[in-house]
Amino acid sequence: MISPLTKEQNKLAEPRTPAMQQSLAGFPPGSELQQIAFVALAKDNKDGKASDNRRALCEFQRRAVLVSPGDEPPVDLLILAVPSLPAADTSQVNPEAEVLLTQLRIWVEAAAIAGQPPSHLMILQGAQIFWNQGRLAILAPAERWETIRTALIEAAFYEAELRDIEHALGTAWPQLEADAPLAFEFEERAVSKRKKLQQRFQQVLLLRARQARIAPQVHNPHVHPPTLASQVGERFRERMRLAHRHEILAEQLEVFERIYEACGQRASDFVQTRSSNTLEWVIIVLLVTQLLLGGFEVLTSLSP
Amino acid sequence: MRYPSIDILRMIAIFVMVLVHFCENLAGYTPPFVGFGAPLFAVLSGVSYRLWVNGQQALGRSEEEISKISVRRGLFVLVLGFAFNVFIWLPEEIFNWDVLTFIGAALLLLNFARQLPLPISVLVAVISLSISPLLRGLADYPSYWPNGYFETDLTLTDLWIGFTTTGYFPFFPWIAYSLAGFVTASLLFADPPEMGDDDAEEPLPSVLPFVICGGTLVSLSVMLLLARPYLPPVISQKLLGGWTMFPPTIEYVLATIGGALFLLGTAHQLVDRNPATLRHTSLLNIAKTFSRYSLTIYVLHHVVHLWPLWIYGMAMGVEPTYFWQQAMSVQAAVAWALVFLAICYFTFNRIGPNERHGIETWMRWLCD
Repeated sequence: MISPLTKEQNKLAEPRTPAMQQSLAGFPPGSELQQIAFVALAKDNKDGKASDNRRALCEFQRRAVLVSPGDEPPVDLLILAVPSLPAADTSQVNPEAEVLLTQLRIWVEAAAIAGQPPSHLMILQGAQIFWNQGRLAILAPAERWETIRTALIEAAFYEAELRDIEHALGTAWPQLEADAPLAFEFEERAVSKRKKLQQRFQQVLLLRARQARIAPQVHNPHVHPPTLASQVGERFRERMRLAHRHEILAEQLEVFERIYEACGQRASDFVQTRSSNTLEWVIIVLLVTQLLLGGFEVLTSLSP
Repeated sequence: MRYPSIDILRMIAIFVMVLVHFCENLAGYTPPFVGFGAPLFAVLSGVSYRLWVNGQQALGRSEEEISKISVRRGLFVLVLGFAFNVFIWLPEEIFNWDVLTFIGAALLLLNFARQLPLPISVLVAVISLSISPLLRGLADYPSYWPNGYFETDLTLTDLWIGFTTTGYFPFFPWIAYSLAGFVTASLLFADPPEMGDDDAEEPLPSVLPFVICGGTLVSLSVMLLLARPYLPPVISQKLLGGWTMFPPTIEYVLATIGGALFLLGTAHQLVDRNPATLRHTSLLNIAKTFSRYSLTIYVLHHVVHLWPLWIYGMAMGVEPTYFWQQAMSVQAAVAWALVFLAICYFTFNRIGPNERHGIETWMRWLCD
């Protein structure tokens, strides 16, 4: 499912910019900020060659690469990894740790969208993970970062895919409602919409393909025996209700497919019928013309 | 939806017709722009019908309802045309097949044509133009115009021949004008986008094909006029006929349809699609006033310049039509035409944009 790249494959250095260094200010020394973009796999490219030579963190359905601000493609995910503080007496509240957690929450919630939960928190095997749309903050021992990060990147990608499909469908509902009457009856005025309907149907099919493609990962059963990476991924999927959302999307996409399929069928039937009707009318008009000329000739011959 | 370009063109058509009729009927003078007003008016009747249907469909009226209203409107204009002939041109001219009877008949056909594919309307227009010389030949057209104006017997055969071929505005080929306007409006004036429809981003139909088509038809007409002396007699005399409105020859119809399409496309681009024109509210208001009352003005201008002629003739103890074409000088006729148009504007403008009086109101009250 996921293949972390070896150190040998990661030949390029991590991009470090002044802006990134500035955003790390206030966090403990050793913290890391990574800006990640999801790009197509080399085998998905037409020529089969990797066109992206930036440092890749892992590969699944996409290749997660490190990018700098302003680069192409744009940043899909920001991951802040902070080394956890030395273990203290657990019976006492550690004010320093509390401040750090608050800092991490604030950093994550900076990307919060109105109407959505500001952030989520996951505590697993001593690692504390905050996340929000497009931002992840890991507070864990540095030796566990790679494992947690790789698992989170993949899970975040699938969540982003679902969110993207949900957004695309969400914005398409009013248009679907406007197009729905054409699934029952097509008329002359709608002929100019055929191209649009075709595009919308193609978009729905593409969304369906994207939704189907992530199904194995979304519905992946729990791994046994569990590992930290598998648990992080599974917990993330559960907390983000990926399986449930995936099923709802399937139902919604079915509605879209049925309506646009019917629209396509009606449009095709209408155009074919219109063509044959036109031909029939041409014949009728020619016959009427002949009758008119014949009748006119008779009438004029009757005139005194 | 109201398009200022159509208001302007209809105003031009009305101006041309008023000036021509005043000059011809009062002074016996034929202005050089004779023969351009009625074709434009006929093309605009097709355009207006298409826009009216679009409006009715947008209101959610059923096809059956639209058909019923269309038929009622067609019959109203047809009957109005007969009444016009009786009261304006006197009872013996009831079947002279003037422009109103033609437009009434055209509305009835357009109601049928709107339910057919557009290419059929184009085909009917082409056929109506093509067969009109044959029909005129079969009917012996000159025998119906012995003294330079249409004369017919009150027999069923002659009525039919007059309606289809030999009258002032015969169905063939004049129906080509209405169909041309109808097809043009169907393609050029896009329907307003419906609620929730994102098709508003679609580009508007280009006016260029219509301008080019119009220019091509005008060029074709000019070429036929120039080539006519060199063509075999069967074509130059039987099929073509030079530049005449009575009968409407192929060259005349091609040029006037082409000119109307050219004007329609150009005006739509320059006026309707140009936000800067909205600044010229006074000019657009004038055009709108004349356009909204075009039918009333058409009837009224005949009343105001022909009835005095008939009454004066009878008062002088001569034939009512005695002073026809010899009542006054050309300058005086033009001056009266301009005075009439000015009075029309101030009168109808004073009524206000929301108040409506005139024949158009009667038609809506009775038919809609």
